[in-house]
Amino acid sequence: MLFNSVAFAIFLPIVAVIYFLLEAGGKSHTISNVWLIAASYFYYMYADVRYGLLLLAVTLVSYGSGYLMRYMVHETRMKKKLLILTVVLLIGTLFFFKYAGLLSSLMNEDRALRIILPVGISFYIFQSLTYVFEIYQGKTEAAPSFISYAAFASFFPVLLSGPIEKSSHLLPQFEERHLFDYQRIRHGLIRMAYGYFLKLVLASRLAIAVDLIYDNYMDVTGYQLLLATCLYSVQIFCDFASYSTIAIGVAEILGFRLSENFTQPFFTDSCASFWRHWHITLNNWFRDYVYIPLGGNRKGTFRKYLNVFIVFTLSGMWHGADITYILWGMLSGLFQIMEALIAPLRARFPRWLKVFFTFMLFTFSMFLFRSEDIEQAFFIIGRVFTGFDVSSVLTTSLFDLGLGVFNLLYLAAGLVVLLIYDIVNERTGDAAAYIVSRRTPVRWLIYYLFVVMILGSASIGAQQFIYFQF
Amino acid sequence: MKDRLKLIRNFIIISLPLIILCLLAFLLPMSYMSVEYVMWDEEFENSEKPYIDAKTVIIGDSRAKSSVLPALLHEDTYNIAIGGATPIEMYYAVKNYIDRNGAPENAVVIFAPYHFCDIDNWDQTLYFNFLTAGEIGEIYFKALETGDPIVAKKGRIPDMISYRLRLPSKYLAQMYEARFTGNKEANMKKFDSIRADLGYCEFGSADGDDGETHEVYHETFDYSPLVVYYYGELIKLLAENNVNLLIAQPPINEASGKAIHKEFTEGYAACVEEAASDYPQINVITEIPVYDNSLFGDSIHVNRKGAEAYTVELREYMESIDFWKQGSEIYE
Repeated sequence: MLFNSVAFAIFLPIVAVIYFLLEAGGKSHTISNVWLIAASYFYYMYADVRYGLLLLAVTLVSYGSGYLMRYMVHETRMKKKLLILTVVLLIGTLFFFKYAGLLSSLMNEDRALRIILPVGISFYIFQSLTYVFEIYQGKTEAAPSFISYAAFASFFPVLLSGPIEKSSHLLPQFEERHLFDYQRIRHGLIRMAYGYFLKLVLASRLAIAVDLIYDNYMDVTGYQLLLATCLYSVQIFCDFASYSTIAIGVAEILGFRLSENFTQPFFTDSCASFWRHWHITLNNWFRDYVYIPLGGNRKGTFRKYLNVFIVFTLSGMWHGADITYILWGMLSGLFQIMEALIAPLRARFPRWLKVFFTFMLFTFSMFLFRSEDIEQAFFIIGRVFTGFDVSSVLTTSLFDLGLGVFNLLYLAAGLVVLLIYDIVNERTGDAAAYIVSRRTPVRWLIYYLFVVMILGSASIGAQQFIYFQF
Repeated sequence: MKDRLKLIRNFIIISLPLIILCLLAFLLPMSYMSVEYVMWDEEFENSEKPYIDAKTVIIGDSRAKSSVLPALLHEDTYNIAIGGATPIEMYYAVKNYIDRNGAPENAVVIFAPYHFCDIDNWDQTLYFNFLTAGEIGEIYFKALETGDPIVAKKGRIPDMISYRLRLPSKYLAQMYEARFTGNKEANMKKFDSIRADLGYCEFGSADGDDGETHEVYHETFDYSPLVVYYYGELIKLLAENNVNLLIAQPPINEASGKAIHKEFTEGYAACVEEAASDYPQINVITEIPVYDNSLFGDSIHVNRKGAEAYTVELREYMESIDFWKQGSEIYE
């Protein structure tokens, strides 16, 4: 079920109203958590009923592991073995769904396995793993009941594309009472509206331009490909950040606080900083459960660089069973290492130049991320460097991007709104709260600006979120 | 409670632009809809209040609409066929017509054979809101029963709700294109011309076309059980209301005549005969006439010259079997 679908517009109010009634009426949270589980499974199984079984299996394995660990206070070795077994089982499941098709096709192209990748599997397996890791590390208590845990593991706002929540942050919230709260719901709705704005006004329009050029990549100049890839960088930000923002807004309506996943990444002036502002929860996951256990930056400079490289390579693998994603991850790691090596030189650059370089390096990595396969990626990179065609800078009109005057103006206006919102977010830390604090006429003007811009984009139609495929 | 009411009130105020757009889409369809909508609207209005007191009606799809000139066929004839309709939509159109105005004396049923195989316009049917919610629900449940992949496809229910509520996601693109009211004049003109021609409507106006029609892409008669079910219901409805009935076939051009598969035409003929088998009084023609390419306005539909030729041929056939007399006998 897409956040930007009529089905979800019907689903959410029903879930929220019944949840508040149950929370208000019951003494324990069991019934309201059961309701959330039912809603989450319905949400997930709406796409394919079989997906629910996988989610249930992942929930049972991670809960069972955590349950056993709490009885292993003094049996450290057994606990470690159980942790390894759980990680192997869960990562093995993820690996199977992501890589079995690819591996079988490498062995025998004619008899390749056709495995459907369940949507969101990478996200909820990683979220379930945080529970097992945190119990192992003693950072969190085992879930008070299977119901609470199942509600955490299947929580629908984060199920398909995160944010990947740590159990120590989200799980205790299923034991809190969440009643109707006008202020909180209003704040959540503003977050949701901004999320829809990112998706419908910006990402969907940018997709038209990017797809047009990438679909004809052999017939366009290097400049046009570079332009399309720059636009893709913004598109993927708007697309993914929109999902996270809507998820945070939805959870907030229900009374749950989720972690921020994007905090103005394009305002950062280094690759290392960029990744602290982009898909934050995934990067934190890799930092806490891969980078630090590998030694982090405690074992010398070489090991630090190696660890960064390993983490980003794994991050690339997490994204998909395609060499382009793995190379993308490796490249992202390499950029950070190179950046660290030339740190004294970089220090002399003005900030705006460093921001620009950071954006362009990210965009360069997007050549790999956006391409269908490695041949296409290398062709496009080659074309950018050998067939740039300076004259096309002057001859290519923005009106050639398949958008038309109206959509182009709409896009430009949307980008201005995005910039202002992000500046306010950067300065105040919470643009939604800033809007709420304005005087009534200003506040309503902003509300209507969002509503009109979103409605005006309704004709573009519902498109799937890019990160669903991961 | 105060906060809850405040939230609902504010939500409604914020949704005003959405409500206005939905209302515009609901109230002014003739102002922004494309020209295809006109014949659906005309048919809807005709079933509410018939333009003429027709004794004979032509039932079918775009080929029926564009092939039969009522004025040339017989007196008091009206063409209530709809372009883009399959037997599904026509069943309800005829049912509503009969419920409101009583059954006509005679009817000619003409459908393109490929409409039994492909429900390619279901989104358009929903988009035009021709059917009531109850009718759509009935069709949906039947589609689930027959496993129809188009009508009962995943996500269809929210889709149906979107159309019913006239949500901007479905209608805004067309409203933009028409600048909200820009199509009104052309649509009204089309409406008047359909009325003037007693329901006839030209689809292709070229002086000939040698393109192949949809039927040639089917090697066998791979029909949709849902369409065949409604075709059977349509025939039953007419027969049980004592309507003197002729089932005829629309013409295809020479290019298509050469390419059409024998298994397809045989399968189709058997299907039509089966649908009419319980009612021996029904006149059935299963042979698909092949006309010269020059009589086609596009690869699928005859032009006006083709319509004249077909109507005359149909009239002569009907006279040869004393069709009009049969009609009066039924009522005697």
